[in-house]
Amino acid sequence: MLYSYLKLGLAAFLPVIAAALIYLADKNTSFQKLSYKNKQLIIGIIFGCLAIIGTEFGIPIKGVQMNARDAAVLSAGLFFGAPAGIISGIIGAVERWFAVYHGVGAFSQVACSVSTLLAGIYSALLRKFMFENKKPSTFISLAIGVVMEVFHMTMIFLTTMHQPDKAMEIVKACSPVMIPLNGISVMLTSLLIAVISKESRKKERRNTRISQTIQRWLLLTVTLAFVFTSAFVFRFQDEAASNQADQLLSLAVDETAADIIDASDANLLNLTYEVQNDLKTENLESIAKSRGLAEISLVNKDGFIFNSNIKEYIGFDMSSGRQSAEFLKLLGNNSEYVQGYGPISSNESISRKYAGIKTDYGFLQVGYDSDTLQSDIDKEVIGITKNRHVGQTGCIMILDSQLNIISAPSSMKMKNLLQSAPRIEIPDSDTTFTMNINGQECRCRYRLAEGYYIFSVLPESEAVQMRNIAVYVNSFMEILVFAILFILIYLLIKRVVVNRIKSINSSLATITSGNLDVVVDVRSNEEFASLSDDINSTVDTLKKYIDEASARIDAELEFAKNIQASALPNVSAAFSKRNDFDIFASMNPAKEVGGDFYDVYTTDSDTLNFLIADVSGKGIPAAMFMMRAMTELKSLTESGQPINEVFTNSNNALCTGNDAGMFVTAWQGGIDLSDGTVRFANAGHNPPLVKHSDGRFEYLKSRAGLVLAGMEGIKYKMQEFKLEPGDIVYLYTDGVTEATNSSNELYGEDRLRDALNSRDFESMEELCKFVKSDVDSFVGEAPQFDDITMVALKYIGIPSVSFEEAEIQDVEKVTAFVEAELEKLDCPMKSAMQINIAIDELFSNIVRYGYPNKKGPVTVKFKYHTDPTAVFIRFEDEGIPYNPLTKEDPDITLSAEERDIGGLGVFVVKKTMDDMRYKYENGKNILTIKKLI
Amino acid sequence: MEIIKNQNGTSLEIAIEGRLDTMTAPEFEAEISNAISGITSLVLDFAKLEYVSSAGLRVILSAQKIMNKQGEMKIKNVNSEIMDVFEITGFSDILTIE
Repeated sequence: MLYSYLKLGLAAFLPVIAAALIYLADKNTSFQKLSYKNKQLIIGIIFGCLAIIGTEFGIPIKGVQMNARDAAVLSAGLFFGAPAGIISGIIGAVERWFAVYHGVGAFSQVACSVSTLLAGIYSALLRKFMFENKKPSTFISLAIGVVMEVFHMTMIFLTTMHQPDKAMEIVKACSPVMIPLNGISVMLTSLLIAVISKESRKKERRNTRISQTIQRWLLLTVTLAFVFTSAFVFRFQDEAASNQADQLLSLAVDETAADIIDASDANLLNLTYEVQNDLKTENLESIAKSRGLAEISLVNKDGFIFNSNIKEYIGFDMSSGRQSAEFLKLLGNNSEYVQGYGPISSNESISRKYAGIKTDYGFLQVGYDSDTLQSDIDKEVIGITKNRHVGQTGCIMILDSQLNIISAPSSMKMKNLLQSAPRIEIPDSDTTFTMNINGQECRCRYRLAEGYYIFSVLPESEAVQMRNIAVYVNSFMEILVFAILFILIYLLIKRVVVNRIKSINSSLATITSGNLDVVVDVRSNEEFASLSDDINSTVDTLKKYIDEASARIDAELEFAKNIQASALPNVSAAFSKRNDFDIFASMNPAKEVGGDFYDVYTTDSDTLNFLIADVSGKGIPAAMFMMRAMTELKSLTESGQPINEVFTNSNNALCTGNDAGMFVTAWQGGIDLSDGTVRFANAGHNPPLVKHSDGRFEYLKSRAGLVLAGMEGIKYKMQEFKLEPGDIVYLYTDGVTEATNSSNELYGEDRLRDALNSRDFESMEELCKFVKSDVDSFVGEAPQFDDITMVALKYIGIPSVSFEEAEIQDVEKVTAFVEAELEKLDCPMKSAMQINIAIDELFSNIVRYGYPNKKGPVTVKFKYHTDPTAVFIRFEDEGIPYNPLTKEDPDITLSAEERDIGGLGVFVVKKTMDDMRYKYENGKNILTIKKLI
Repeated sequence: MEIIKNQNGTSLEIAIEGRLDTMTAPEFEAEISNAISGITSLVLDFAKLEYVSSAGLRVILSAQKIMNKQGEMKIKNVNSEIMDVFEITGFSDILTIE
């Protein structure tokens, strides 16, 4: 027996092991590479085989097989997929059908096969619709196993209605084993897989889902309803069963008693006729004696006893007693009458049974005492119970006054009713009571008839059988109905509530991600419609506020943008009147205010400073930092520091108080307009493009220093290159090279260089606008991410005339050169004359005194500014260092004789020119005169 | 530069055209020194002179010094540019300008 149960337990545990192994295989081996179809087929076959083992390892009991087949099928469907569940269900069901032919219980063939097939479908449907291909939790798995087995048991009832007692027996034996066994097997599978996949811990952390809460309360409600209705059904069925048993018992007693009385009556009447016959030949006393009768009385037509074997009865008026008066009906139409056993009228202490027949003199009455009566009818009484049954297994017993059993079915082993319980007190007749008969608890009822105890007996098991079937079937049906309700309500809630909440949530997620134009529209019922409306109006309000706020911010940014734009110089306007260079600069901010800036300014008439820079980040912080950097660089440059020191000091200044960690990349150069030398420093900025007059634009190779505001104490280096007249230098920020089109390609340095080399440019403004439009057409519809800033400078240079070995007559060439330049400017005659005089004076001085006893180089450069128009003429020589401005002015008040002609020339120049400056630089005397014209 | 001399006895009138500057002053100086001996009245006509540089001033000054000893010297038809130079240099005080 123990071995059988172990085998069954093993059959139930195999699916758990198999599920765990398959799960691991699917995670870690090449099994996972199989297609879904193949996997399902393989898993279906494996669990189908396990279902067969579940059948074959079962325990045969009362014509059926107690088994663990369903657990395997359920595990396949619930944990591995609907097709696997259905395949294993079919395999298990088919095998169970044909297992009958090798001796597995035929009684439940239909029920078991159908149940197994349905187990496959049931698990498949649950997985697909209720769990949405996720694994059910441990307790739900247990419930699924239990419900399946309850269904299985119900199927047994349904398919064996014709033998309810047998079905009952089977279900009673199987259900306590199969229901928990299969349920626990499925539960263990769930638990083991959860442990392997470590899902259980994750689940604990999550919040309870609506469906889980509803599941719990539903389960509680359903359980309470189940307990309540089961108790009610039990109570009701118990009462009904008792009543039915009572009816069965009392009917049996009634019938038996009636049969006995009938037999007794017939016997006495027959005796009475025989007495009447005997009276013809014998006297009353002898007849009474020979026949053992207690009384023989003859009654006349007036109702008086006129003869009797008991002499004192003679003359007794029959109408004087109740019992005797009943016989007076024989004086009427009745011809015979038998009275029941009872006390007689003349003496209540004596009980007798009387019979009477009508005679010509009146009637004859014969009376029995009980012992005579019993001995007369015993043989009939004994026979009467033999073939009587109460229900199917109950019986009738007849006992004598000492409770000796004188008649009972042959199976009765007891001789006396009190044999097993001598001290029992027999309750009143015609009530039902329970006592142990023949070793079995029985319901009993009895009546006394003709001196016999007539017992009807119904074994308790039969009495409550219908009640038990009703309770079982009812409980099973309730479990099934509640399970179906449970699933339906779950699905309904999911459909009505959960799915809609999910729909609202997905709309909300879109809104949260920034798309405020999404409308939540779940209108399937009033609550969700109102929720949708509330959300929509909240979003609308929010949108309104955001719009207002963004309008305000936009206005402020616009303001900031204007401030920033006004901080950047309008280069083309500022330097339009310069003839020695052409410059253009532009900044197109990406959105509002940006971090890019440029600056162009002169520190003296010969030096043009130009810079481009990009502050990290965008918006107001970048713009503010930009203003700081721009001011810092300009003030240091204007203080006369060389560019490397400007950067070094700016960097230190910008590093202090830079909590925001912002930084600037910058490239600044200062061009010496007199010779085209550019001195620059680079703080991490893109290399500029330089075009030399005879070549193409190429990137200027130079080593960049660290960004400004990056780290305190950085030393920057000054580098230089030279521009010849006509050369161009182009500066830009990464907004140009990193402009991105819709296919995410960068504009790039090569494209920029090629664009610049693609054609010639009349002006730097044209160049900048061309690059911008080329970037724009490259980018297309894609948004501009970064500021686009550029500065283009073309060095034109200063017109000049040079002499390697200047001679005095060269002054004419100089004058001719300057006059030609002045003519372009529509110079007034007088100023031109004064300028000519100045040239004459200064050039001749240089030639005469600058190079004593030899000849040397002299260069004269001409430039002008406009507004007011000013002409600058610059004399450069490499002769003796001499500053004519230090010479004392001649005394012009002396008489002609006293006058010395020396110094008069410079004096005239001083007087006629508006400014005159001297410097000695790089071995050169540089004298510049300025004349406003 | 062109120099036109018109001598009448001891009075000499020299008309100068063009510029009197570093390049032309030596020629003018040579003409003056050739012609000046015995002259008591020297008139310089600057009507067609564009300008005078310090080199020219030196020649004018030396002529004035000579004429101070042997007679008188006058300059006529001085344009405003040259007049400016004379005034700047104080020559207007020592020259006789008509």
